[in-house]
Amino acid sequence: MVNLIICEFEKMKRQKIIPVIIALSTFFPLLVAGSIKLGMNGDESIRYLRMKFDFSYTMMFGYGMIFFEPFLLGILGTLLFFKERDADTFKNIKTVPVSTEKLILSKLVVLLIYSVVYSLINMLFLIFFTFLLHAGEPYDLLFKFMYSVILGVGICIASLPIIVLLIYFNKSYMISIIFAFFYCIFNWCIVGAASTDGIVPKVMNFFPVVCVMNWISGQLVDNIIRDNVSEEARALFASSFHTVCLLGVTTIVCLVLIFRFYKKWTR
Amino acid sequence: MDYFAIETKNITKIYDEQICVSNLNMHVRRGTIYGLLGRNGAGKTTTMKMLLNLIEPTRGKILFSGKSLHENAKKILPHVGSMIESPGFYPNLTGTENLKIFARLRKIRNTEVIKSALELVGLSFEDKKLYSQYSLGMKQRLAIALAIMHNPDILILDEPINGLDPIGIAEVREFLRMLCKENGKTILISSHILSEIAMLADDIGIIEHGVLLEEGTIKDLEQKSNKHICFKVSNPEYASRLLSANFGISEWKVEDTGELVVSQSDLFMPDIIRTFVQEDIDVYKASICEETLEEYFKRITGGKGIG
Repeated sequence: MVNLIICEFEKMKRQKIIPVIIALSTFFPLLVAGSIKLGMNGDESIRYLRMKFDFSYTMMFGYGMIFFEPFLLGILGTLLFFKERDADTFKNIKTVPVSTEKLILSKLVVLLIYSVVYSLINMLFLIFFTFLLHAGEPYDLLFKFMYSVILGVGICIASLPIIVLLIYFNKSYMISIIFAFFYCIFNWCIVGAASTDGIVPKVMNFFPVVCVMNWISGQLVDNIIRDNVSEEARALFASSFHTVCLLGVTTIVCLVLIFRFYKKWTR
Repeated sequence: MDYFAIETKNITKIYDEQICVSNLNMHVRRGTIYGLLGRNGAGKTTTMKMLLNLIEPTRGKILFSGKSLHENAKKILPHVGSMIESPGFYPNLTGTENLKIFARLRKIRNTEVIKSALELVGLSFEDKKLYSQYSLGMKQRLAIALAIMHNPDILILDEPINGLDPIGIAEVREFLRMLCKENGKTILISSHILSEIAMLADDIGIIEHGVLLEEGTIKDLEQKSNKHICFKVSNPEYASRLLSANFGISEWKVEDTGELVVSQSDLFMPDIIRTFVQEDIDVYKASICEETLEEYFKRITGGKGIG
C-alpha cells in the first residue's frame, strides 16, 4: 500500500497542480490578512491583536478551506482518478497484479494527504502574512495547527461525493471541474438558506461540508477570542457525535460507490 | 513439471450476445514460442486478456503450469510479462520514470534491472525525453522492456512488432528467440503477419471468428498443407481423359491458365509423362506443387490472405 501511495505521488510529477495548490494556499491567507489589516482601529493591546488573528483564522477556514478546498480536491481527484484511464495503464497495473480496491484506496490517501498539506500551508501563510502586515498576533499555534489537520481530514471526507460524481460520469476534465465548482456553490447555497431561516440548522448539518464547518465553529468558539457569539449562532453548531457519524456514513457510502463505478469502467 | 506452460480448456468470451472467443483449447509448450495467428478482430487480444486475468472468461478454464489462473492469479501473474494492445504509460514521465513506477509496484528495488531492460530494447536509462515525445517504435520498445523487466518465466505479447521499423522487427525477433532458446522462457505472441509468426514460432495456433481452427508445430501445418501435381500440356482435355482411363484419377481440374492440376501427389510422374508423350501430347511442364502457409491459412479460414 505504501508503494502504491508513493507511486501515486510519482505519477503527479511535472503536473502543474502542485504549484497551483501552493499558489492558491497563499491567496486566501493574503486576502484575509489584508482585509483584517484594513479593518484595524489602531488598538495595539495583546487581546485585540490576538482577537484579530483569531478572526483571520476563522475567516481563512470559512473561505479558503471549507468552500474552496472541495473544489480543489475535485480537480485533484480528477487528475488522480482519470490518470490510468487517460494513460491506458490499467492493464499494466492489473497484471502486476494490483487490486482495484488498493489502487482506489491509495488515490484517496493521496487526496487526504494533499488536503491536510493544503490546510497546513494555508495556516503557515496566514501566520506569515499576519506578521508581515502586522494584522494581529499569532498565538496558541499548536492548537490551531491541530485543528487545521482535523479540518483537512474532515473536508477531504466531505468532498468524497464529488469524487463519486466524477467517477460515475467519467467525462472530460472540464465537466469534472464544473461538477466540483457546483458542489462548492451548492454548499454556499445551503449556508445561505440557513441564514435566511430557509432550512432549520439540524437539516443543514446533514450536508457533510456544512456539518464540518459548523462542528469546527463550535470547537473553536470556546478556544479563541470572539465577542458576541449569539445563541442563534450556537444553535448551528454540530455536535462531535453527529459529525463523526455523518462523516463515517459519508465515507462508507462514497467508498462503496467509488469501488462500484470505478470497477465498472476499468473492466 | 507440467508439459504445458499455458493451457486453456474451452474458454469462451461472450459480450452481450456477441461471441468473441468460442471454446478455445490452446496448448503452449514450456520453453517454446507459440504464435497466435489471426486477422484483426479474430479474437487474439480477447484471448490474451483472458490469459492475463484482465477479463473473465464467460466459460472455461485457464491453466498456467497446471494451476488454475482464476484461483491462483496473485501467484501466477508476477511470473508473467505482458504487452497488450497499444503501449500504455504516463505521458508526463520519462521512460525510466515509468518503469520505476512499475518496478516499485513489483517491489523491485534494484534499478540495474530497469537499466538492463531498457538497454536490451535499445533505449537509454538516462534519456530525459518524456513518454509523450516518444515515437511509436520507442513506445513499443518501452512496452517490451516493461514486459521483461522482472525476468518473467512467461511472456504474453500482443502484436509486439507493431510500429517497429524492419530493423527493429528483426532485432525484436532475435531478442525473443534468444529469450526462448537461451533463457528458457515461454513466449506467446500474437500477430496478423503470417511471415513473422512463421519465422519466429515453434508452434502456431490459427484463430478466426474466435475459434481456434488449427494448432500444431510449423512442420505439422506444412504436412497438412495440400500437395498436387501440375501439368502444362498441349491438350489438357485429352490428357485428363487419359488420367482417368489409365490411372483411375478422378480428382483433377483444368485451370484457366490451361494447366491440368491433379490433387493426388503420390503418383509416379514418369509413367504419366510417358503415356502423354505416347499419345502425342506435348508436355511443357510437370511439377509437384505445395501449398504455402499463406495459402493454407486462406483455405482453412475460408477467406482472404493475411499480412
